[in-house]
Amino acid sequence: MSEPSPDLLVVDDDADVRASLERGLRLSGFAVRSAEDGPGALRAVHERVPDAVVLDLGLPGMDGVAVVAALRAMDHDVPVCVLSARDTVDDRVVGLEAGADDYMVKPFALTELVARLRALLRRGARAAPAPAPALGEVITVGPLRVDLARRTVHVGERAVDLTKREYELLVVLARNADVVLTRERLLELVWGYDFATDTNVVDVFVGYVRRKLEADGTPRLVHTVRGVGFVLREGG
Amino acid sequence: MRRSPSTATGPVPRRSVSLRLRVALASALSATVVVVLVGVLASVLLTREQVERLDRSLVPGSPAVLGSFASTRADLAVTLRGPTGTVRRVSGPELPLSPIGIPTSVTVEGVDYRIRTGPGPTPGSLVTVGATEDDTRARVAERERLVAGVGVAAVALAAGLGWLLAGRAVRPMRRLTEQAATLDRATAEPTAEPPIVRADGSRESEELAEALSAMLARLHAEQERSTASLHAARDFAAAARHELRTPLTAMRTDLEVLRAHPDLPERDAVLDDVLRAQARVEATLTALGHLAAGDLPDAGRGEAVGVVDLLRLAAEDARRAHPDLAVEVDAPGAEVPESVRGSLEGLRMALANAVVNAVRHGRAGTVRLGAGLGPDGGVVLTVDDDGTGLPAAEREAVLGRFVRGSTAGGPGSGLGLALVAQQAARHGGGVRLSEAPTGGLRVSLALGPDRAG
Repeated sequence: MSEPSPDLLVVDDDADVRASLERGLRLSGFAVRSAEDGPGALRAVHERVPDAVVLDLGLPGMDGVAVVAALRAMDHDVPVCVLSARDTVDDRVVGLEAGADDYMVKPFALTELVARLRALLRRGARAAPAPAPALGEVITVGPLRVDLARRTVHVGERAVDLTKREYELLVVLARNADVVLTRERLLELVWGYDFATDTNVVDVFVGYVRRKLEADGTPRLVHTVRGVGFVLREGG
Repeated sequence: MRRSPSTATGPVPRRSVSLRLRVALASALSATVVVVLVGVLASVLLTREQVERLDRSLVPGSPAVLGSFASTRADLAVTLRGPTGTVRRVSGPELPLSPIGIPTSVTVEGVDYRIRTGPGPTPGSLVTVGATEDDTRARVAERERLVAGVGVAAVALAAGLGWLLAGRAVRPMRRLTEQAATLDRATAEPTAEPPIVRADGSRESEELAEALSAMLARLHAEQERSTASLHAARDFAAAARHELRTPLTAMRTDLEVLRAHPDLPERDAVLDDVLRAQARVEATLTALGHLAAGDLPDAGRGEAVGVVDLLRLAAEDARRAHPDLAVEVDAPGAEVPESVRGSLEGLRMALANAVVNAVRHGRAGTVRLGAGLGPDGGVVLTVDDDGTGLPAAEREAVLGRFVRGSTAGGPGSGLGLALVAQQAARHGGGVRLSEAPTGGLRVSLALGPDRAG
């Protein structure tokens, strides 16, 4: 732990939650700044880009989704973990679809949040999930073409726009085409979660990737293997 | 004619005969009665007329003429009797003697004859002329068959017409049935208008349709109400869950910190935070309980609550709950009714929440309780404070549940002013937030004008 503490930004409108998260994360070895609303969060990012952001979705005025969207639009790809006080799928969907990396439902375990943040930070420290791809390296599975150097994805002639986390998930699946990957393995390969954790974030992201790949009626490429995990392959 | 029920659930009850068939049968039956009566009458009259005709033809004349005439007709018989009783058959079998001039029916050799006896061509002689009744009977029978045929046709026609007309008459009923059968689908749409059934064509069916429509409208309204309250309850539950999760998140984080760092120097501060979060959960639960109780339909018109007593009690509550707060009570003017009808506990709680709001979010040092008369003649209870007030744009929104103002300070459930609003609504009035003369916020709890006195 000689390296400097990672710089975290905690955004929550509730003073009590902010205070306890600040304290808990600081005691867990992070340098913590906080903001109580969306504009405040963007100001804090503008001052100094944090290493990761913990963001409440239910902010008054400019909500968490808008903050994530704004961050990504400004080309900040810091890991963002969103917090939701509602356990409906909708909130998760919008938060993650806007470009967040993970979500946690309030109330959550601080240790869990810390573990995930550390993993996301480690992952972020390494530039890519694999050795830097050689120019021209392209993975092709059926109509799917992933250009690793240009970080572009095409289905047939159609370019598919993926968020960072969606892209990384697709690359892992494409590199392992025809190999069934468990959720645990995907959590490890894509998110860096090498510990047991209770989340369905993989399913949510697989859903996003599918929706984008199949937007024009392309047959399913990412298949669910019931009880096991997911596999990318052409045909059933 | 039977329609199998569209939803086959359970045993199909035995169906009665259709109305249409009943009407057809009834008209056929009445036609039959008429036809039989007319037929019997016609038969009697026909028979009599035929017999009279036959009788008229039995005119005694000269035996020769009679004989030559009778010989042309096999059904005629003529018998001549001399003065001495000699009998001479001119034609046909021998006919018995009958009273002179009176047509009589007799049977000769197994054949029915109609005979008439009159004076013969020579003095003292008698001539009896007879004609078989077969021919007449045959004619009568022929007419009767005709009448019977016409009767049967009339009965069939009556039945047919009854069937057709009844079909037209029951058509509105059929339409009603068809509409009723599709109703469950129509009402399944949540946004559907209340269904209206129509069955124009007869007064009875129109009245039935109107009664059905009215019933459906009532059911629809009832359904909409329960759907709306179900949605409200669901939204409320979601909001309550959301509201409880926030302090629970802080609490859990704090507790984990305490466990991970047993020798934390700021241990006491963390414990204070845990207690505050716990108090928030508790306050939210209490407020939720009050809200749920206040959502129950108002039981009756309540008790008589003295306005001065209410203000005094509320002031005592406020002093007890907030020892540092200066609480003042303005004596109500003479125009204010001495008492209102309502729930003392409910109004007390509403005022207490207004005071809590002033202290917690307005950071007030002084509150002033008063009562006045509203423009509509209802009593208006006011809670003024000298706190920070509330931006005018938020004054409506903070009355909603789980809504907290931008100036809100300290912990709060976002339910306090919602509770005030709920009590006002329960008492037929409403809540208005405005600027107080003392600079802070004024909460005006208006009671319905019918609650005065």
